Amino acid sequence: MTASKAAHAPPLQGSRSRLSQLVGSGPTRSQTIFGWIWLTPILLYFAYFSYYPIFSALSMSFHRWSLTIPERPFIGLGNYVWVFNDPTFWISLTNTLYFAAVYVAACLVLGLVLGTLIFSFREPFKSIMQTVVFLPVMTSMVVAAQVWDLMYMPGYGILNYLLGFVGLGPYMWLQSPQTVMPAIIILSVWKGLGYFVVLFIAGLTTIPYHLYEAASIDGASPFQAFWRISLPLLTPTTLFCLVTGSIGAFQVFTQVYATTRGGPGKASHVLLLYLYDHGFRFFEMGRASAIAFILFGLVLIVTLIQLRLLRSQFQY
Amino acid sequence: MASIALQATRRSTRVSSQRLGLGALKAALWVALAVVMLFPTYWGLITSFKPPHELNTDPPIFWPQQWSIVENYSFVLTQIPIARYYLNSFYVAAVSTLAVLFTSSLAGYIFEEIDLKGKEYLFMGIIATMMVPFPVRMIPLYIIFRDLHLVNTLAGLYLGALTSAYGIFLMRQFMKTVPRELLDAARIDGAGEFSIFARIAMPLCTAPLAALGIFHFMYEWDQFVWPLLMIDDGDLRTLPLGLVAFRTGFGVQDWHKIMAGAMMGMIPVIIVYLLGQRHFVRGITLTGLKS
Repeated sequence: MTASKAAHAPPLQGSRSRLSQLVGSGPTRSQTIFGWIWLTPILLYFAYFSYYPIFSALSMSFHRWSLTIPERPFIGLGNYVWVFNDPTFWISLTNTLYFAAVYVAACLVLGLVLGTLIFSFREPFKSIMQTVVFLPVMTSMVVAAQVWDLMYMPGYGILNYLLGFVGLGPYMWLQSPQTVMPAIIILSVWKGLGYFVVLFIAGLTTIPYHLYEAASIDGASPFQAFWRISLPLLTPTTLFCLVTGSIGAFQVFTQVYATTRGGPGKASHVLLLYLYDHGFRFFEMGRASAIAFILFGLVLIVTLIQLRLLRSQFQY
Repeated sequence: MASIALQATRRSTRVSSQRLGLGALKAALWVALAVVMLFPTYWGLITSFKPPHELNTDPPIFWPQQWSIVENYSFVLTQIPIARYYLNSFYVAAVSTLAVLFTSSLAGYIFEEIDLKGKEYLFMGIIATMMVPFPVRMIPLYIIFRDLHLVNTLAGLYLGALTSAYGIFLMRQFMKTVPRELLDAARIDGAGEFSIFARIAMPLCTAPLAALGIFHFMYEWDQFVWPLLMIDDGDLRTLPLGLVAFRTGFGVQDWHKIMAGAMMGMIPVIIVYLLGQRHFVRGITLTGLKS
């Protein structure tokens, strides 16, 4: 897909190799030197700051590796076994999966619906609404978490007051194990939704307008047009949102750290918080690396499912 | 004749009233959506303007009777060096973004324009790192930076973020659109390869560079986990760290102060966003759709 045309085309064809025709075959000596001189530091950077840490973490996950103890014996899968036997891990995993599933589903559905709705507005209302929906995306996550923390206040909180008018609540929100995850999901959806909306609007602009014209001449309702034209043609955007959304959601941390730090009890403990606790509060970095690789496994599964879906998309 | 005309008007009034109904529905949805999305920000802002006795009231106060803007905001300014936090955040994000723009466009240019042996494997090697989430690298990276004595320094925040696999991928895609003839003409004129890159290829890629720059800056600006690990010293905190630290130790009675801090973290960003909104949105769509 990204393979350079020049590398595979016969040397005397196409404009790409015109210079080669003039000066002989292949890149010139100065080009090669230039290429390697600048590329080498970048490659070394990736080797040192990406590849080395990845393999180092893999190795650490097989050792009892504590920051404070110099002996670091090989213990095979010991860290993984320990993690799998830790009830807190299962709580964190469940919460993370719950968060990812509801957050991504909500962002996809709302993003699609709001994107379609906003796309149908006239200017300037369209631009204004796009700005309004995107504003929370620009807001720092810490600020968003603090603002919602204020609104979630159980006693005099504005949210309970407003929900009272429609006969809901009052809820304890961040202070009750039953509502803490929904509360964190709601604030995250508010914060992240605009990103999905903007992507869906961009996807909609690529759909040719005459398809909708033809549909409306044939008597299709706007709802049918959405269901039969927009939705199928937005599949690539939807897949992209699904994958980036869930990969991001597996790493949920800031909003939890800034509001509950995993509480009440462990009701909002998530995987990255669990990793942070073991790595940087208990300094059990072998164990923390094992947690990191379990997180990696989750991300890998989602990526592979995406590749599978993309392949079936090409057939259709 | 008359009946046909009548029919026609009847039909047109029906259509227009239908359209009017749809328009009213859309207007209602528009307002509802705007209120829901804006209300949290409004509530945070209005809370930051309130005196303490208007905070926890029943019913809540939607518009302060007494304004205490100066008190609340000057309290924040005297309690925490928020300007310093801004500067730290900005410095780290700016250095990282400039470095990423340079390395991404340079690597993108080399990968696309110069035939080096095995470059496709190297390119795949770089792209593959995108699949690994940051937490996997986080612990060894921390140890690397500790051994380099860069923990608790601002350099420790950006030195790990001078390149971007995603940026290299994006810039290579856009380097494909630079006409080869233009580059070859410069080569025949005897221009050095670096000046061809800097004077011809780079200026033709300003749109994707701006998009990548904005996207990466936003990302770095809102970094939280890595600075949390690296920074202990109060004066070196970035804005998100500073706001979290400011909030701890305050109770329900101090929401006006907490919100004054939060709003100071938010308002300048929003102003910048409103000024350059088009570029932000284009940045998102460009980076999103190219993948």
